[in-house]
Amino acid sequence: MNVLDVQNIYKAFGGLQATNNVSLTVAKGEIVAVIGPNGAGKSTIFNQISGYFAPDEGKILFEGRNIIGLPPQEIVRLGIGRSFQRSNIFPRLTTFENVQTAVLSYENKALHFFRPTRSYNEVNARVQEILEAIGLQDSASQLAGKLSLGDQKRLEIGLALSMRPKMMLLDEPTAGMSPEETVATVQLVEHLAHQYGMSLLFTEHDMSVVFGISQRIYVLHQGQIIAEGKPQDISKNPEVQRVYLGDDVPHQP
Amino acid sequence: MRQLWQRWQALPAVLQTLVFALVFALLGLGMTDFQLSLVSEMLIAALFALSLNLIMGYGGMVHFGHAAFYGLGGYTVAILTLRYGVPTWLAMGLAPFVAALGAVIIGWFCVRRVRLYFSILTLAFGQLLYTVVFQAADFTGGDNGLLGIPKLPFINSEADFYYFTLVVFFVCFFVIRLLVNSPFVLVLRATRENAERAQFVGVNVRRHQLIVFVIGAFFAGVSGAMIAEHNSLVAVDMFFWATSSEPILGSLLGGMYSLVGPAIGGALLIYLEVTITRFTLYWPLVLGILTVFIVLVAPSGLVGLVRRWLGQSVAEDSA
Repeated sequence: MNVLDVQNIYKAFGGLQATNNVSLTVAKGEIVAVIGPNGAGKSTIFNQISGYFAPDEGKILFEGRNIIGLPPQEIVRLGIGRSFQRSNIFPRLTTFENVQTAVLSYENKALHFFRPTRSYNEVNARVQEILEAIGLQDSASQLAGKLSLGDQKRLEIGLALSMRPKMMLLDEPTAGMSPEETVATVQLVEHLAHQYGMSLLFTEHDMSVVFGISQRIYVLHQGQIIAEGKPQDISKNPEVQRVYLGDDVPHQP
Repeated sequence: MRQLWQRWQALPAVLQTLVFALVFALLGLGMTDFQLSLVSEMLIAALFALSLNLIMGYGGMVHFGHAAFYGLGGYTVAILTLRYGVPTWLAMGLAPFVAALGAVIIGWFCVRRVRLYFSILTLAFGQLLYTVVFQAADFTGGDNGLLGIPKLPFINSEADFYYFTLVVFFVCFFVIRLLVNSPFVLVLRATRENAERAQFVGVNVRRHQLIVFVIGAFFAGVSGAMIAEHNSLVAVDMFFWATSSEPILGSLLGGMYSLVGPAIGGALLIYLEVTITRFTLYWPLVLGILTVFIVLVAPSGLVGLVRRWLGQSVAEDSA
């Protein structure tokens, strides 16, 4: 059963056809990558799935339900978590407060007016649990804006995780990271996906990451999907090599 | 000193508020009528600044039309008592709700826009209301305002009013304090920091902003009603945009990212205005220089200076 089923979506900005008849699926628990050169339209697809804007045509089904036209805050509540390309957190809240905000929102407690936040023991225990899962428990009382870039990305993933997503959209989860941070983040993401049974749909420039964790890959070029398949098939596909991968393909065992 | 501060912070909110209230109550015993009246006005200005700071400090929404709700509070008292013979206590009780209702209508439009556009809309609505009140002289008294608002039955002296103001102020302060430590304001601060991300953790940002806009207006309505009762009159200036700037300057002076900063700043401005106009008529000049000085030297206000001295993080804004 497919968790996500994107059917023939189109999106144009002025004269530019940013998404041109794109269809893709993600099964339950599956890890799927979307790759393509800069400007291929990867983020545009993510923006349509997460409700940032709607496609001009086509359908986006999440667990069989058409989600086109729903605002982001409702789509996220259905179970599509999202992390962003540039780190996107609440800089002048502490790390703990960042996650606390997300958990309170998820538990529909954002409109509680008079009870002190610190007295919500269950919420705060869950915040602690998430901070431990992303390895930031020691930075709980630091202002999030002062964290390293890698830690901010982890926090972002933590924010998405707070919404108990069934599927996560990760837009370049390791962009701007050092090699060590990249490895740590990839392991974290993979571990979380297994632990929570989440599906992952992600974009990434780092080919070692893509071929390391994805089970299936879509290749996007000028708004169109030009190839789809298992990592070993994609790396052998001559069309893909021509438009995108060049000679940079890692050798698969 | 720092130890003392930590012990103070560990006290429950009710106790802290009561200690403050007690200090003011004792001070009241030794004050002249002039001082009682002045401190009452300072407390009312402090409440007005607190009400704005919920919206501007915690919500990050720069609001140039807050005077509209101060004015609505004051004029509700004046019009209900003078035109319809409603008892003063009832009119004062209704005033904050009228202000809040006004905020539901005005806010519904304003939160549809963000940042500068939000600010300009609040300014436009504020000045629109000012013009309406100014023009509808038959009903509102226009340029002359409305005079002779009857006193509350239990107020026979400056001291009575002072203690009444103390009760109103500290009840409001306590409620605002609860709000500031609640999930609602934590999520509000998150929308201030990053509205887009807040949406992607499931927050209805506009609804959140509208609610705080209305809550702020409610407390502005309380302070407007109090000042109308204190002066026994309302003037159309209550609606003027310059009135909106007073709590903004107060928040800057005291420190926007804290609970008590704006209250201290708002009160201090009234004190300075009264004191300085005794010596010179150029109070606006002094105010201007003061504002420039704060923005350049201490952008996080007096509270920021104290926090730096205590070695705390300046950006911390929970109470």
